[in-house]
Amino acid sequence: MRLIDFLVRLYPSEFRSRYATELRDFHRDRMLEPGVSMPRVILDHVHSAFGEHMQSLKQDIRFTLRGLARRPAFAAIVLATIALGVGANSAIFSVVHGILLRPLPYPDADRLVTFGHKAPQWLTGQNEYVAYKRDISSFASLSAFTQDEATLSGDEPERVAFASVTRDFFTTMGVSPAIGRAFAEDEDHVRPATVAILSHALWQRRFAGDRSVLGAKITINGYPRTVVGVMPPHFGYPSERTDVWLPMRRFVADSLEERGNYYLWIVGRLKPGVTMPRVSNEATTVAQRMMQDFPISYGTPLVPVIGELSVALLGQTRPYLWALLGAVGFVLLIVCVNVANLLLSRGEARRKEMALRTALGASRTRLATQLITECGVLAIGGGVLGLAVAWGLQRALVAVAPSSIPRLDQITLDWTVVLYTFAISLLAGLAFGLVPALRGARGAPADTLKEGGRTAHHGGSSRVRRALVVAEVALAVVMLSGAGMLLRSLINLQSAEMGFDSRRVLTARVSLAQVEYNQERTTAFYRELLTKVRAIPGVQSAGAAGWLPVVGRGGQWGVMAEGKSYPPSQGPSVVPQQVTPGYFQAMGMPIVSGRDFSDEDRAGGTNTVIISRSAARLLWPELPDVLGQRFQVGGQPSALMTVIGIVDDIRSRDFQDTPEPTMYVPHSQTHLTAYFMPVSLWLVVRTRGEPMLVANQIRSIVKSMSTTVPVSDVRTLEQVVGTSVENRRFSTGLIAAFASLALLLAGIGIFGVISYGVSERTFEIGVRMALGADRGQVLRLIVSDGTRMAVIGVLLGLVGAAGVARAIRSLLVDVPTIDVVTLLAVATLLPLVGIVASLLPARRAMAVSPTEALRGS
Amino acid sequence: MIKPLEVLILTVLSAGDRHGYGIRQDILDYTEGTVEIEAGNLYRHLRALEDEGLVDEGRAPRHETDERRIYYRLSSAGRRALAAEMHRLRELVRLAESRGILAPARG
Repeated sequence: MRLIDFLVRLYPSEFRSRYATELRDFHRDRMLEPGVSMPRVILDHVHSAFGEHMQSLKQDIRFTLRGLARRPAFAAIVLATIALGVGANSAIFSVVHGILLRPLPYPDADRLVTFGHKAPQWLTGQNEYVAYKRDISSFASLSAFTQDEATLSGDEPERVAFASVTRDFFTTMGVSPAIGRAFAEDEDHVRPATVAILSHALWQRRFAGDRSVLGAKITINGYPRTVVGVMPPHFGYPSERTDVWLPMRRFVADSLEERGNYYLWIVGRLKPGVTMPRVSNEATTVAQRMMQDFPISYGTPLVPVIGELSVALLGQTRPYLWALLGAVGFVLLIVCVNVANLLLSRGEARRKEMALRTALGASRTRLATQLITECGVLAIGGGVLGLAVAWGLQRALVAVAPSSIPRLDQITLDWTVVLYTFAISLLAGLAFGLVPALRGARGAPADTLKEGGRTAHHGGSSRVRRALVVAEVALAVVMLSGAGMLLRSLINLQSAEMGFDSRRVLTARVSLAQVEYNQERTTAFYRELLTKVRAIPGVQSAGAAGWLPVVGRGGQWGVMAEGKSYPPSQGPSVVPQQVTPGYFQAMGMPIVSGRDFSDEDRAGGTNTVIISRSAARLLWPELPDVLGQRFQVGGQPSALMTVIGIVDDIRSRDFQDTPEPTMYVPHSQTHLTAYFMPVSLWLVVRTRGEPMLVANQIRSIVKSMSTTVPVSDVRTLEQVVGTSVENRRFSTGLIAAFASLALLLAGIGIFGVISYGVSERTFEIGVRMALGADRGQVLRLIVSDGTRMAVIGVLLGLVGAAGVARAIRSLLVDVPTIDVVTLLAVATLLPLVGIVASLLPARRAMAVSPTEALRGS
Repeated sequence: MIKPLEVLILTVLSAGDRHGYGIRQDILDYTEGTVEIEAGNLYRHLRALEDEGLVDEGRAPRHETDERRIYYRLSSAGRRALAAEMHRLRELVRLAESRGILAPARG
């Protein structure tokens, strides 16, 4: 009998109360039959109980849908609000999921690490690489590579990013070419490399995915190379833009260059089970041994730095994405509060209906179930609409997102995102349904029915609703202050001076092929090109340089002032830059003292150089005037250069960068004084009007001079500088948008509660007016009500804002954790919103006619 | 349209009031043991029939020992519904006969 009691309990309460005794009687008789199959009996009950539950759920849903259809405006507002909140969350989640959560497309990616050194070396030299590879037992494999750009010849010459990699690069990453093969044993002897592996993107773009590309010859930097393989899609290491991989020449012990040249990037695969501390210890030991064995080579200590590959690839994006997810989380909370409020006010309107049904015998649980079903229907409906919102929003996000955000192509609305959407929809449904459900099931029916037709001021519920609005305002304050601090950080960042004038400047990369252009031809080419560019109407000045601030960097070269001697490896080092005459003018970098370069600074003449203020201080701290002083690049003895000018320091990486001592060598002399002459230069053109207008003329000038020279990366200098903050600008803009949404929702919340309060208090207002209150007093009554909620919300929100500031501390620039400016602004803004939101209902209250109000009751 | 099992229940009840277990026994007899209905399934159908007003609950007849038990009775609406359903089935059978799907019944 205990079994049947248990089985009966499976049914819905209504069915149980009707048939429980019957079922027991039936069961007793049934058990008397011979050969009763118990599984059959149990299965029948389970199946029937489930069927009955579904039946009552179906009824509840039908009832809910009918109810919603009766009030389409209410349903539309609730559904739209949920869809907005859920959609924003899903869209941002799909971004976070695609970029951060989805594993990297390499097998056992958690075992992949990047390997470098602390400043000033950053990278690794050949000798060190060979030693690490030989002596560290924690690595299953350790691979080195370099990255650069090259010209891919063809009908339309193109600049492509390429990587020279050691032979074990692909085994380290754990990915083989999708078609063709990796580099073979004997292919890393030859220089220049004769074989190449293409990216899937390049294969599609240039060869239309034709498999006959295997074995074909392509010309990179003027040398023919045989294509031996094509990587699978999404293989994007070392960079997502890497289009070509070439074999790096094998390091043979005898051929190892001297120590001190750090140019290799390293990626390694740990053996299974190896921890980060263990591999770091091993690497440090090897580095220390090298420093003991070759003390002269390591003036500054060599400190290995090993980090997870995922952190190296995604680390910069991570805090912004989490901040975004946090922001939309707040939006969803506010949405929940808003919907809860709407449901509550509807619950008020339906109190009589509920009371009647209770009086007619519907159980409390039944009514609560009904309310929960209603929330479930709204949540799922909102979720489906939210998915549509997410779909649109996500496409828009990817379209406007800066390309420096990694793995943008991985962002899709897949099943995980759909599941997430429904999970948060249901969670939201639970959140906004809880309060109304609890309230709806409570309360004695007799009291409500006794109130008759009169809508009395129902104290308890109104308190809850006001509390919800206060919470909403508090959440909005938290979001707005977070967004405000991020905005201020962005403004602070951008107001920092880079040291050059980026307005009205066009930049472009012009790439000559090393094989075709020797030093004389290179110099002549650029002189002619610049002369022609300067002749374009609207061009003020034009120059060229070896690298462009933000995009590139010049490295660090040891230098020696004439007549000085330095302890080994402890001499000064400066950033080298190769420039043509006109560069400083075009960049807007004034010559502080001395003169600019001219065409007279050419190979064969006096070797000259212009240095930055900090370089002057570094080289000759004792001299007030360094013009005419001479120095040379260290290492192999190179020609002495005479300082002919001083320029101000510039920030060459981003707005937070510390300017580095820099030397500017005339491009035409670089092979004499600074090792080599770069054949590819960045054109810098200052215009009178819109700089992009001269882009096509520059292209056609280059084309008229040579058909094999590609012009690429055509951008304004402002765009170039903007790329250093584009991640931040993108996420800050989004967070600001979400914060505005929060503000709007809070305003709507205040409006809803006040406006409902006015209709509830029509009688009271009528009495007040009958007793002589004028319209101004009524206005004050209503508006002060709204403002009071806003002020309490602000006070609570300020506490939360301090917490949020702590959480986003790492993203703030020159903004204190308690940012008085932002907090004050927010603290003024919200009460204003409170006033505006209560003005409309207040007008309605003022229009109340005392006689009408009193008679209407 | 009434579900086949409900037609069976209504038909059983047309012969007299029954309690739940009695309905099961009658259906077993009538179908020669091929339709064996269990408690949950039976009472779901009874619930549906009651909700539609085709079946009423009643007290046990005097001769029954267990007076506590609820007996189910065919309501007049139930009787009409059953008749209508039977009529519909007869028309269907006639149609099937005229199309040669069934051999015409004798008599």
